[in-house]
Amino acid sequence: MKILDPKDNIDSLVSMVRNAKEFVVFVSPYSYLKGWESLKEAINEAYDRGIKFSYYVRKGEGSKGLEGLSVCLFEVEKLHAKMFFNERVAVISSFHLMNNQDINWAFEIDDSDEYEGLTDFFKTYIEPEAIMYDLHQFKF
Amino acid sequence: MNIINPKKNIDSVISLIKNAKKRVVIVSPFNDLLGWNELKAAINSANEHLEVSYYVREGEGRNGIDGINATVYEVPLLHAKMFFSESEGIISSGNLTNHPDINWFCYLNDEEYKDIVGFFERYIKPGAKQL
Repeated sequence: MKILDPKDNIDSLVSMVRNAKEFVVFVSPYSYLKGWESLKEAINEAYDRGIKFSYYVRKGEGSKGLEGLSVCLFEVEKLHAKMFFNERVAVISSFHLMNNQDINWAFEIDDSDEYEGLTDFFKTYIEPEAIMYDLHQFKF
Repeated sequence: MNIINPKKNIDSVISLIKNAKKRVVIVSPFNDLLGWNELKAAINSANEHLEVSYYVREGEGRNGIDGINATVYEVPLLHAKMFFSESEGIISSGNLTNHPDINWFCYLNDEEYKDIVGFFERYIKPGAKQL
Protein backbone atom coordinates (compact mmCIF):
# COMPACT_ATOMS: atom_id res chain seq x y z
CA MET A 1 0.00 0.00 0.00
CA LYS A 2 1.41 3.36 -1.02
CA ILE A 3 0.40 6.83 0.09
CA LEU A 4 -0.65 9.23 -2.66
CA ASP A 5 0.44 12.80 -3.12
CA PRO A 6 -2.76 14.67 -2.11
CA LYS A 7 -2.83 16.52 -5.42
CA ASP A 8 -3.15 13.14 -7.17
CA ASN A 9 -5.98 11.76 -5.00
CA ILE A 10 -8.78 12.39 -7.48
CA ASP A 11 -6.67 11.57 -10.55
CA SER A 12 -6.00 8.14 -9.04
CA LEU A 13 -9.74 7.52 -8.84
CA VAL A 14 -10.22 8.74 -12.41
CA SER A 15 -7.56 6.25 -13.55
CA MET A 16 -9.15 3.45 -11.56
CA VAL A 17 -12.51 4.09 -13.19
CA ARG A 18 -11.03 4.38 -16.68
CA ASN A 19 -9.02 1.16 -16.25
CA ALA A 20 -11.94 -0.87 -14.91
CA LYS A 21 -12.85 -3.90 -17.02
CA GLU A 22 -15.74 -5.33 -15.01
CA PHE A 23 -16.93 -3.22 -12.10
CA VAL A 24 -16.27 -0.23 -9.86
CA VAL A 25 -17.35 0.24 -6.27
CA PHE A 26 -17.30 3.66 -4.62
CA VAL A 27 -18.06 3.93 -0.90
CA SER A 28 -18.38 7.57 0.11
CA PRO A 29 -20.89 8.31 2.87
CA TYR A 30 -21.16 11.94 1.84
CA SER A 31 -20.56 13.32 -1.65
CA TYR A 32 -20.18 16.62 -3.45
CA LEU A 33 -18.65 16.17 -6.90
CA LYS A 34 -19.37 19.59 -8.33
CA GLY A 35 -16.22 20.83 -10.09
CA TRP A 36 -14.69 17.37 -10.51
CA GLU A 37 -15.73 17.09 -14.14
CA SER A 38 -13.03 14.56 -15.10
CA LEU A 39 -14.24 12.19 -12.40
CA LYS A 40 -17.88 12.62 -13.33
CA GLU A 41 -17.09 12.05 -17.00
CA ALA A 42 -15.06 8.93 -16.19
CA ILE A 43 -17.95 7.52 -14.14
CA ASN A 44 -20.49 8.10 -16.90
CA GLU A 45 -18.13 6.75 -19.57
CA ALA A 46 -17.66 3.61 -17.47
CA TYR A 47 -21.42 3.17 -17.40
CA ASP A 48 -21.53 3.60 -21.21
CA ARG A 49 -18.81 0.90 -21.55
CA GLY A 50 -21.00 -1.52 -19.61
CA ILE A 51 -19.04 -1.38 -16.36
CA LYS A 52 -21.16 -2.16 -13.32
CA PHE A 53 -20.77 0.95 -11.16
CA SER A 54 -22.06 0.75 -7.59
CA TYR A 55 -22.00 3.80 -5.34
CA TYR A 56 -22.67 3.51 -1.59
CA VAL A 57 -23.71 6.49 0.54
CA ARG A 58 -24.90 6.93 4.10
CA LYS A 59 -28.59 6.39 4.74
CA GLY A 60 -30.45 9.65 4.26
CA GLU A 61 -27.97 11.09 1.79
CA GLY A 62 -29.58 9.68 -1.36
CA SER A 63 -28.27 11.33 -4.51
CA LYS A 64 -27.09 14.53 -2.80
CA GLY A 65 -24.03 15.81 -4.63
CA LEU A 66 -24.28 13.09 -7.29
CA GLU A 67 -26.59 14.74 -9.75
CA GLY A 68 -26.12 13.61 -13.33
CA LEU A 69 -24.17 10.44 -12.53
CA SER A 70 -24.98 7.06 -14.06
CA VAL A 71 -24.46 4.61 -11.21
CA CYS A 72 -26.36 2.08 -9.12
CA LEU A 73 -26.88 3.94 -5.86
CA PHE A 74 -27.19 2.27 -2.47
CA GLU A 75 -27.76 3.66 1.01
CA VAL A 76 -26.18 2.09 4.09
CA GLU A 77 -27.16 2.94 7.65
CA LYS A 78 -24.38 4.45 9.78
CA LEU A 79 -21.89 4.25 6.93
CA HIS A 80 -18.71 6.22 7.61
CA ALA A 81 -16.06 4.07 5.88
CA LYS A 82 -14.53 5.30 2.64
CA MET A 83 -13.08 3.03 -0.06
CA PHE A 84 -12.92 2.80 -3.83
CA PHE A 85 -12.06 -0.26 -5.92
CA ASN A 86 -12.36 -1.91 -9.28
CA GLU A 87 -11.72 -5.61 -9.97
CA ARG A 88 -7.96 -5.16 -9.51
CA VAL A 89 -6.89 -2.13 -7.44
CA ALA A 90 -8.27 -0.16 -4.50
CA VAL A 91 -7.89 3.20 -2.80
CA ILE A 92 -8.67 3.86 0.85
CA SER A 93 -8.92 7.37 2.17
CA SER A 94 -9.88 9.59 5.04
CA PHE A 95 -11.94 11.68 2.63
CA HIS A 96 -15.46 11.53 1.40
CA LEU A 97 -15.82 12.42 -2.26
CA MET A 98 -16.36 16.06 -1.46
CA ASN A 99 -14.71 18.77 -3.49
CA ASN A 100 -13.41 20.88 -0.61
CA GLN A 101 -10.03 21.92 0.78
CA ASP A 102 -9.91 19.53 3.75
CA ILE A 103 -6.63 17.82 4.74
CA ASN A 104 -6.91 14.13 3.87
CA TRP A 105 -4.67 11.21 2.97
CA ALA A 106 -5.29 8.37 0.51
CA PHE A 107 -3.45 5.08 -0.01
CA GLU A 108 -3.42 3.02 -3.18
CA ILE A 109 -3.62 -0.75 -2.77
CA ASP A 110 -2.34 -3.05 -5.51
CA ASP A 111 -1.12 -5.98 -3.39
CA SER A 112 -3.57 -8.85 -3.87
CA ASP A 113 -3.73 -9.85 -0.18
CA GLU A 114 -4.36 -6.27 0.91
CA TYR A 115 -6.94 -5.83 -1.85
CA GLU A 116 -8.68 -8.97 -0.62
CA GLY A 117 -8.63 -7.76 2.99
CA LEU A 118 -10.32 -4.53 2.00
CA THR A 119 -12.93 -6.09 -0.25
CA ASP A 120 -13.66 -8.68 2.45
CA PHE A 121 -14.45 -5.80 4.80
CA PHE A 122 -16.81 -4.39 2.19
CA LYS A 123 -18.52 -7.75 1.65
CA THR A 124 -18.87 -8.39 5.40
CA TYR A 125 -19.84 -5.03 6.85
CA ILE A 126 -21.16 -2.82 4.05
CA GLU A 127 -22.72 -4.78 1.20
CA PRO A 128 -25.13 -6.80 3.39
CA GLU A 129 -26.51 -3.59 4.92
CA ALA A 130 -27.04 -1.82 1.61
CA ILE A 131 -30.47 -0.90 0.34
CA MET A 132 -30.94 0.23 -3.24
CA TYR A 133 -31.96 3.86 -3.36
CA ASP A 134 -35.33 4.78 -4.81
CA LEU A 135 -34.48 4.97 -8.49
CA HIS A 136 -37.42 7.23 -9.21
CA GLN A 137 -35.70 9.96 -7.24
CA PHE A 138 -32.40 9.47 -8.98
CA LYS A 139 -31.77 10.90 -12.41
CA PHE A 140 -29.76 8.57 -14.64
CA MET B 1 -1.43 -3.05 5.95
CA ASN B 2 -3.84 -5.12 7.88
CA ILE B 3 -7.52 -4.32 8.29
CA ILE B 4 -8.49 -4.76 11.94
CA ASN B 5 -11.60 -6.64 13.05
CA PRO B 6 -14.01 -3.76 13.80
CA LYS B 7 -14.72 -5.19 17.25
CA LYS B 8 -11.08 -4.49 18.09
CA ASN B 9 -10.73 -1.03 16.54
CA ILE B 10 -10.44 0.85 19.81
CA ASP B 11 -8.51 -1.94 21.51
CA SER B 12 -5.90 -1.58 18.78
CA VAL B 13 -5.51 2.13 19.49
CA ILE B 14 -5.29 1.41 23.23
CA SER B 15 -2.59 -1.18 22.56
CA LEU B 16 -0.61 1.27 20.42
CA ILE B 17 -0.74 3.83 23.23
CA LYS B 18 0.27 1.31 25.89
CA ASN B 19 3.19 0.08 23.77
CA ALA B 20 4.55 3.59 23.18
CA LYS B 21 7.93 4.40 24.71
CA LYS B 22 8.54 7.96 23.52
CA ARG B 23 5.49 9.61 22.05
CA VAL B 24 1.87 9.23 21.02
CA VAL B 25 0.22 11.27 18.29
CA ILE B 26 -3.56 11.18 17.95
CA VAL B 27 -5.11 12.89 14.93
CA SER B 28 -8.88 12.87 15.20
CA PRO B 29 -10.71 15.92 13.85
CA PHE B 30 -13.90 15.24 15.81
CA ASN B 31 -14.21 13.45 19.14
CA ASP B 32 -16.64 11.92 21.56
CA LEU B 33 -14.81 9.65 23.98
CA LEU B 34 -17.69 9.31 26.43
CA GLY B 35 -17.87 5.64 27.46
CA TRP B 36 -14.38 4.76 26.22
CA ASN B 37 -12.91 4.77 29.71
CA GLU B 38 -10.09 2.36 28.93
CA LEU B 39 -8.94 4.54 26.05
CA LYS B 40 -9.12 7.65 28.21
CA ALA B 41 -7.14 5.93 30.96
CA ALA B 42 -4.50 4.77 28.48
CA ILE B 43 -4.05 8.31 27.12
CA ASN B 44 -3.83 9.85 30.58
CA SER B 45 -1.44 7.19 31.81
CA ALA B 46 0.81 7.65 28.77
CA ASN B 47 0.80 11.41 29.26
CA GLU B 48 2.40 10.93 32.68
CA HIS B 49 5.66 9.63 31.24
CA LEU B 50 5.78 10.54 27.53
CA GLU B 51 4.65 13.15 25.04
CA VAL B 52 1.01 12.78 24.01
CA SER B 53 -0.19 15.17 21.28
CA TYR B 54 -3.83 15.33 20.24
CA TYR B 55 -4.79 17.07 16.97
CA VAL B 56 -8.38 18.17 16.34
CA ARG B 57 -10.08 20.28 13.70
CA GLU B 58 -10.01 24.05 14.18
CA GLY B 59 -13.04 25.10 16.16
CA GLU B 60 -13.44 21.76 17.95
CA GLY B 61 -11.24 22.61 20.93
CA ARG B 62 -11.75 20.10 23.72
CA ASN B 63 -15.18 18.96 22.52
CA GLY B 64 -15.59 15.32 23.45
CA ILE B 65 -12.20 14.96 25.10
CA ASP B 66 -13.06 16.29 28.53
CA GLY B 67 -10.74 14.90 31.17
CA ILE B 68 -8.04 13.97 28.67
CA ASN B 69 -4.52 14.95 29.67
CA ALA B 70 -2.62 15.66 26.46
CA THR B 71 -1.30 18.62 24.54
CA VAL B 72 -4.16 19.56 22.23
CA TYR B 73 -3.68 21.28 18.89
CA GLU B 74 -6.21 22.65 16.44
CA VAL B 75 -5.65 22.37 12.68
CA PRO B 76 -7.69 24.24 10.04
CA LEU B 77 -9.64 21.95 7.68
CA LEU B 78 -8.33 18.79 9.34
CA HIS B 79 -10.21 15.69 8.19
CA ALA B 80 -7.46 13.04 8.23
CA LYS B 81 -7.40 10.41 10.98
CA MET B 82 -4.29 8.61 12.25
CA PHE B 83 -2.72 7.32 15.44
CA PHE B 84 0.97 6.63 15.86
CA SER B 85 3.76 6.18 18.34
CA GLU B 86 7.51 6.16 17.68
CA SER B 87 7.17 2.69 16.13
CA GLU B 88 3.54 1.81 15.29
CA GLY B 89 0.83 3.41 13.18
CA ILE B 90 -2.89 3.00 12.59
CA ILE B 91 -5.07 4.85 10.11
CA SER B 92 -8.84 4.85 10.09
CA SER B 93 -11.89 6.11 8.30
CA GLY B 94 -13.34 7.03 11.67
CA ASN B 95 -12.83 9.81 14.16
CA LEU B 96 -12.55 8.90 17.84
CA THR B 97 -16.28 9.18 18.34
CA ASN B 98 -18.03 6.51 20.35
CA HIS B 99 -20.81 5.99 17.82
CA PRO B 100 -21.88 2.73 16.13
CA ASP B 101 -20.80 3.89 12.66
CA ILE B 102 -19.28 1.50 10.11
CA ASN B 103 -15.55 2.27 9.94
CA TRP B 104 -12.37 0.39 9.12
CA PHE B 105 -9.13 0.74 11.10
CA CYS B 106 -5.91 -0.39 9.51
CA TYR B 107 -2.59 -1.36 11.10
CA LEU B 108 0.38 -0.12 9.03
CA ASN B 109 3.59 -1.90 8.08
CA ASP B 110 6.98 -0.15 8.38
CA GLU B 111 6.89 1.56 4.97
CA GLU B 112 3.31 2.71 5.40
CA TYR B 113 4.18 3.96 8.89
CA LYS B 114 6.91 6.15 7.39
CA ASP B 115 4.46 7.39 4.75
CA ILE B 116 1.81 8.45 7.26
CA VAL B 117 4.30 10.10 9.62
CA GLY B 118 5.70 11.96 6.61
CA PHE B 119 2.19 13.08 5.68
CA PHE B 120 1.66 14.28 9.25
CA GLU B 121 4.92 16.24 9.29
CA ARG B 122 4.21 17.86 5.92
CA TYR B 123 0.49 18.57 5.92
CA ILE B 124 -0.76 18.60 9.51
CA LYS B 125 1.93 19.68 11.96
CA PRO B 126 2.84 22.97 10.21
CA GLY B 127 -0.74 24.26 10.47
CA ALA B 128 -1.27 23.22 14.08
CA LYS B 129 -1.87 25.72 16.86
CA GLN B 130 -1.67 24.63 20.48
CA LEU B 131 -4.78 25.32 22.53
